[in-house]
Amino acid sequence: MSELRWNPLLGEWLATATERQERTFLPPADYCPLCPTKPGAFETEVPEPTYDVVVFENKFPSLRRDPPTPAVEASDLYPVRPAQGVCEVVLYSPDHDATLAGLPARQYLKLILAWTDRYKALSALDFVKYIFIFENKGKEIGVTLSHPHGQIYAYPFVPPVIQRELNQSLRHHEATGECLLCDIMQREIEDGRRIIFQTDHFVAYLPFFARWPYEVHILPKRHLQSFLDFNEAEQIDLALAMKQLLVAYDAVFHKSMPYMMNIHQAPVDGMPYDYYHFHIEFYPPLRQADKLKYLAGSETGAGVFINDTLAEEKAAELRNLVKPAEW
Amino acid sequence: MRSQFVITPAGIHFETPYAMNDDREHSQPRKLTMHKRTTKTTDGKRQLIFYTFETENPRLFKAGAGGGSSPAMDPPPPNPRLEKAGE
Repeated sequence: MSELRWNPLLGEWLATATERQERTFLPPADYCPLCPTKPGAFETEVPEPTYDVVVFENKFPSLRRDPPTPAVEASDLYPVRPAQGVCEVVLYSPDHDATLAGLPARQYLKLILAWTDRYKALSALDFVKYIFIFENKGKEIGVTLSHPHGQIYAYPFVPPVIQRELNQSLRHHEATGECLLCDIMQREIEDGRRIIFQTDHFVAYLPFFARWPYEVHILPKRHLQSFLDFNEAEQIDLALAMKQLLVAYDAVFHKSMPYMMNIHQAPVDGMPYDYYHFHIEFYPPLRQADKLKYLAGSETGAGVFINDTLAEEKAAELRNLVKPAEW
Repeated sequence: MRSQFVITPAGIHFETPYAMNDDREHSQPRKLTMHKRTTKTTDGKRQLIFYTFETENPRLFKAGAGGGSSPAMDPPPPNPRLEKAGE
């Protein structure tokens, strides 16, 4: 059963998806559902012997194009609605053991083109209001399939974190006439201590307000709202920038760095969002090679993150690990 | 083969002229043309899209910073906020 239940205490929607309890959990490589289907072997989700980039609808979605009727009745205090939306899986490579960090930058460009296509296609669905492209990478994050892949959730509402960013951006724009993230980026460039690297069209920095020790944001220098606004040079440059960051991440602890990658774009609900700025946020959960930053009482119960590190020190550490990206 | 460009605080710059030849086809940034084919997952129940890509003729590209821009590509307008920062 699945449905959207309203949380009146926090003013946000919660998705229930009980079928996801049955989803495949860390299968052996021979039974990975995200690998290509080899002749005579286990039938995977992809019915062909190889592929480059593939996108398909999740077998265990929390949102569906044709959702079931909610299992509970709505009330004035507890609104309920069908869990309508789309959940897609994006396969980065046919190589089961690959990671995004290990793929060449040209593969990132392919993903950027596919993400752009999905953003455009999903935005045409009238029930979709926000398209969230993300990756959970590593067992530390709780991934159930290790094959290199990301996800796309097309929500029927604007998610609360994005809504808070929109509210703050609009407030800043109304007060100053400027874009909040353009101002943050300018401040970071002027200061320099938290800059990881710059390319011709992008800036990567560890934010002044980082919640995670190695949190990094990548922003386009041009004021863009979504992938649809990118030109070809910016698509290529973002591919290089992402590759550089993920390679630097893997060099921090000399192992494949787990992370959450979150692409923040403008909603697709038909409203104007000229004041908002596209960016990608990376949250690696490690604070040391063998120690996780847990979201405990303060972070989860009160919403106050406690970062055990200084952004300026971690930025210098990451900056020293950046190398040219391999195309 | 590693790419022939370097990163400086001001951006990515090519160390060598961007004169392409076939044996360096995969060494430099370049534009891709995307094709897609929509079908179904193996169980026949869900949409599946195969994306394939073609590399554009490398001789259409020329030297310069900007990650392998096509000469036909217009440079993006600068961000006025960063211009104020001296960027």
